[in-house]
Amino acid sequence: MRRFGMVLCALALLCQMLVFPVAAEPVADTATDTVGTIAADSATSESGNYEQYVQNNPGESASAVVEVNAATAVQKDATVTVKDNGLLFSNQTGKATWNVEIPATGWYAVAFTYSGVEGGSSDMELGLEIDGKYPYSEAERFVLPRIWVDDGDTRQDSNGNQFAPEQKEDYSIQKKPLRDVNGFVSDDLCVYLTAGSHTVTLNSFGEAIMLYSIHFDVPQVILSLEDQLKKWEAEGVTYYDGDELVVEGEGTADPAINPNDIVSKTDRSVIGQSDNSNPGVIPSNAYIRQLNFIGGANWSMTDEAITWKVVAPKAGIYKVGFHFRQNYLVNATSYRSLKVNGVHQYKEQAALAFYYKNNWQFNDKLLTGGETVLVYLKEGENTVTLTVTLGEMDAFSAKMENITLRLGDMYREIIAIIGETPDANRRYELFKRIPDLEERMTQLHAEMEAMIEERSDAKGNIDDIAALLQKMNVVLEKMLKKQYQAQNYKSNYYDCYSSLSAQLQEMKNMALDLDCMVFAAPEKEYVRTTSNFGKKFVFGVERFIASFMLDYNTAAGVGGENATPLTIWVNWSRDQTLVLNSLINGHFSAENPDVSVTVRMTNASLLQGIMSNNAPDCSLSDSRTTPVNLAMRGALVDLSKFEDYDEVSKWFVKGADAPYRYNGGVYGLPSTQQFYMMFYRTDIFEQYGLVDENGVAKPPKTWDEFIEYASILMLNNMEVGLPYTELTDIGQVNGGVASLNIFPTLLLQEGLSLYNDKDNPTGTSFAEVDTMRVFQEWTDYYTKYNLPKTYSFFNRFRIGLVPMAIQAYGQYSALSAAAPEIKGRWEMAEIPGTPVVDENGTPVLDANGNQVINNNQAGFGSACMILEQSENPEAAWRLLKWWMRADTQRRYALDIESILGVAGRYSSANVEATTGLDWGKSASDILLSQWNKVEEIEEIPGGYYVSRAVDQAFWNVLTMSENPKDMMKKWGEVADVEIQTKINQYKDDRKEDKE
Amino acid sequence: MSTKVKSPLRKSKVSFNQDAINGPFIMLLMPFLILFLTFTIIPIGYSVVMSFFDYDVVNTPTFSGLSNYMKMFINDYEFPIAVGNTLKFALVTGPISFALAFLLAWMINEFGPKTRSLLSFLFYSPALVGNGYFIWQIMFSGDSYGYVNSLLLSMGIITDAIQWFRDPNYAFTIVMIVQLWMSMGISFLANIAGLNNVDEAMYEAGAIDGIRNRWAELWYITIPSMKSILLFSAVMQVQATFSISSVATTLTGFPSVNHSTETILTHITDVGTIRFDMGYASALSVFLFAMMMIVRLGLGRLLISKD
Repeated sequence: MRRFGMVLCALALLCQMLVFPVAAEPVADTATDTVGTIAADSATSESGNYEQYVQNNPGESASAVVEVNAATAVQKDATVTVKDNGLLFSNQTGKATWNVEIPATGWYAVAFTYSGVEGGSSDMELGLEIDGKYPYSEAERFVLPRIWVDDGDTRQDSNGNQFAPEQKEDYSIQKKPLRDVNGFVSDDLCVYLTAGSHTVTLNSFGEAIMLYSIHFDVPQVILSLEDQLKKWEAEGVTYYDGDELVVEGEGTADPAINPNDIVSKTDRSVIGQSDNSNPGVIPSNAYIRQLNFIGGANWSMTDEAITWKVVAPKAGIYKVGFHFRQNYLVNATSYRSLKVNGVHQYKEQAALAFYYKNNWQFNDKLLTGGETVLVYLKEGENTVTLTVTLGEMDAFSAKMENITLRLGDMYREIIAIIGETPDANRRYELFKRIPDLEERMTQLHAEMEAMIEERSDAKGNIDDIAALLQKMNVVLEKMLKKQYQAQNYKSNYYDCYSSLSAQLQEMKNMALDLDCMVFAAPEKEYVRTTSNFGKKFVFGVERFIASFMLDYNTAAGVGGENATPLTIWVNWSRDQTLVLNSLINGHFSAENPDVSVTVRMTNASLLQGIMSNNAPDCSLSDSRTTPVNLAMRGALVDLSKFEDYDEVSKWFVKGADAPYRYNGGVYGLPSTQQFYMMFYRTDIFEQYGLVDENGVAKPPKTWDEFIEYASILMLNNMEVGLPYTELTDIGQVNGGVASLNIFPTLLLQEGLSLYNDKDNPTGTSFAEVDTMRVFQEWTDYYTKYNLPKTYSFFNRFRIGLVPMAIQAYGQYSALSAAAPEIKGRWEMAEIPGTPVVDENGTPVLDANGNQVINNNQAGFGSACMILEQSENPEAAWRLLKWWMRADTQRRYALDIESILGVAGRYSSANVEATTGLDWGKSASDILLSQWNKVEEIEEIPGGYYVSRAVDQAFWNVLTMSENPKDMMKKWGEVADVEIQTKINQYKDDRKEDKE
Repeated sequence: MSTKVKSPLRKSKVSFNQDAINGPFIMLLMPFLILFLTFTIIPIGYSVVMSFFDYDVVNTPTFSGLSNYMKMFINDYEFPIAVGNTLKFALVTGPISFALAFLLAWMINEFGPKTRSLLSFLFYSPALVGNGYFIWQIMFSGDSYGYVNSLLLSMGIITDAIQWFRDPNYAFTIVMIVQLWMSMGISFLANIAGLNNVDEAMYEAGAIDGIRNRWAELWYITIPSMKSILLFSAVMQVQATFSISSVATTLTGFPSVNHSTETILTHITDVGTIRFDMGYASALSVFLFAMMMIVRLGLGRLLISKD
């Protein structure tokens, strides 16, 4: 009855909450909040920012130009070598210093001549020191982008659906200015140098680059549009009066008809895309997917640029109209800077404003003040570059980031005192224990007040952003006023703070879809504009009709009449299926002209296919338990019968096929493989002294250390996380027990197994004393040390509330792509291990006298397989081999990254393919080292019961306070019964088969 | 109440050839009959047959006599738990939601047309949103930042986040509450329609005959005139409570801790799709089918026998 009462009580509270959602008092935090920026030490280290630097150095522009040949470095690390009249920074951190003779005092614009180097694919990061120190914080870490070009023509599947070409890097020499990586300073950065000798130092952060020279140029003087027009007039430049030129954003379909084409871009994921909603987006086609625009969410980060070439028939001034869609930033503007032939022709080109509208629009009045965009094109080939910029939001975004950072720091300091669940009636003496808290709060309050002022119009109306700031300010006011009850505003503070940081992320995300740019005579009307209602209606009808005629789910193969047909099923998204199909058409079919592959997109399970006798020939990605489950029923082909199987299995880590082995055969190839890594926040570790002798954050090596660290962090009201996934649907049981928690890993590290007999398992080992002990140790983390069972890793790691956690390695890409604000403040390490002991219980030491630690772990992933029903198992095997080969997997992974971004990185089981992706050298080494310690656990008939038994026992211990050993015994027995039943059931079948 | 008038068609039936009429009638029924047979009758028959076989989906089924039923009653420790839970759901949630659906409909019916339609929309909305019960997942999230946990923590009622769905102490109750919240479905609408159809004249006659208050009116006039609707409503409720499955698995996990919210239906899903034991799954469905039939007949007797 008490329980029921508890639930009722909770419910009553809930109703109250629902009825008065606007009540100002505690509104609960949700775990799903998007939380953004913070870090312990804010980014502004000892050097001030650029704004301060400019103020501190009033002076004239330089009058001379200095070019420093990179090969003349006077001092350099071993990782930096002279090569081909330039300096090659390898993919490890390195440093080089030059002596520069400056002829005259003044401001110099800094630029670099460089080229990309093979290997690696992320942008090159460097830091610039002058006379041994960073001139301003923006110079500590800046980026020189790699340049990407389309490799070949647009790809097509057999139905004519188009897909962007593969991307390759352009290694030609580039010259790029020094820029603020955050985009808060829109202008190119300059340095102020006195006449005389200076040292210039470049630090590379581990991405390879070939540097040719460093330039100190005279900063360019840019006139306003009005003045520039006068200047052009004076020079006798005329207005263009011929036919309009169209530049298709995605590039031209036929260079013979339209020579204006896309030239390059700074990100591989900026590729042609398809929109079928509007006939005005040309080329439009109701029946097939045609590439017709560029951009989207992948063209949204500061300094991402696209360059086109425009062939002008005559020199002159052109007006430029844009056909675009900006429905990403609601009621706000996405900015682009426009450069023609590498320069801004007038000031206003620095920020073209693409305002929100839900649909496609055609507009040429994008300059500030609604002026028409004008450009001067010389006769012949010109380049036009659009670059993402924060535009008019730059300074404000900088302030927002600064405010958010400080609010975040303050939050963590407050939490360190009052904890996650403060007592409403206790006097925490917050303002005494953080002596400068009041001062800082007042300061923040004033600054935000000024920002609100800035965002409000003459009538005092404020926009969304200012409204958020105001909410935050109200909380601060209350905390300042009621200092002894300040802890009660903790959750309000957190809410406001997280919406502010979410807003900040949104503000910096300047997405835009661009269909085309039209360069026309200023006096004439545009011919190409957006489509009207009539056209859209007709197009809509056409699409509706098309929907009856098209089979969206099948991509047929390109094989001859006599080709062997193969069918594969995938349950992926359309984009992924298109990638797969284009890879098959482009590569597999070329190598195997005698096979014709049909890719079918379906939700049906293999089982349904087998039941209806309609199964595919092979499946490329099915859950981990499927191979054994189907194999014991005789539905799969034994892959080890193919003579080159042993060769193929070497593409994966040793033993990766263990879960797919059954009764002496191998019934699946690993297709993806995942494992756990440890993520930790270096800044917080350093703050709390979790460091090595050099003061560098040091991750725990053993579980004992892990717990030590945990207790220090928990003392300061932070938490640490272990992976735990609730069993909520069928799919999770099929992922195997290692995908759910680290219990199997802990067992492995002690040299134990989940099963009673390593070679011929007939049940679980749960009744054994050692297994019980490990289980108890595992549950102790939750019961004794009170680690959170459920928590949102991504958000809390970003804020720093969970500074140390073990998670699947895929989180690395997620964090590096989607949490830019903590860049450089976290690391990935191998998971903790268990010290190895000999029979007597004494620790085993290695040659150097260090303890040997076993940090092996159990992996998880998916498999591909060939079905027994297949009529062409030999051809299917060729397909599987082709698919799992390193080059195919790498191509697929890169294509998927182009579509989904880095956060959607594919975790191929092929070691060469995965480590070949762009991880950065150190991360890839750590990954590979841990990957080699992955020991896959076998799957056995009825194995799903093991996952369940562990889960049941776990929760009984946690919520019912049951004895871990009893629970292990009880649920182990239940699992054993099921496993025994299954084994016996299929033992007979096996005998029959053999006879 | 209504006097039965003999239909003229029925009277003249004798003069026609029976088969000549049935032929076209059956043809007219065909489209429905075909669908009904393929998707309802044949599958039911098929699972009755399959329940006597061992069938692992891939291999040919082998006849195994009553072994599946033996297993059900003797060997399967989850089965009694599942039956118990299903009955608990049926006995608690069924009647409460049935009564609620009727009472709410009755009360709402008293309002003016505009308020009535607004209120019926509000009460019907949980059924409209389909998988809307996900919202409960957020509310009762086990994270200390989940709505309920966060609220209780900040009020000092609890000191540690409660794993609402993973704790057998709470899981069942919560699923029951969610089920109640969702149960204002078809039967609620049917009740409203039924109330509108009660003849006004009866109330007038009742008033003249000495009915003094609304309760008496409800008891003596409204309920008797709505008998068929009430039966329909009851059947729908029973069916809903017997087929609690996705709510339980989504919220409390699959399997739930200690099988605390395991129902016959989730057990069938488990046996069929995870353990691939279709024969046994069929036997379980036959049991569930039988159970529902018995309850349905009982309900019919309970509600109709007063006639």
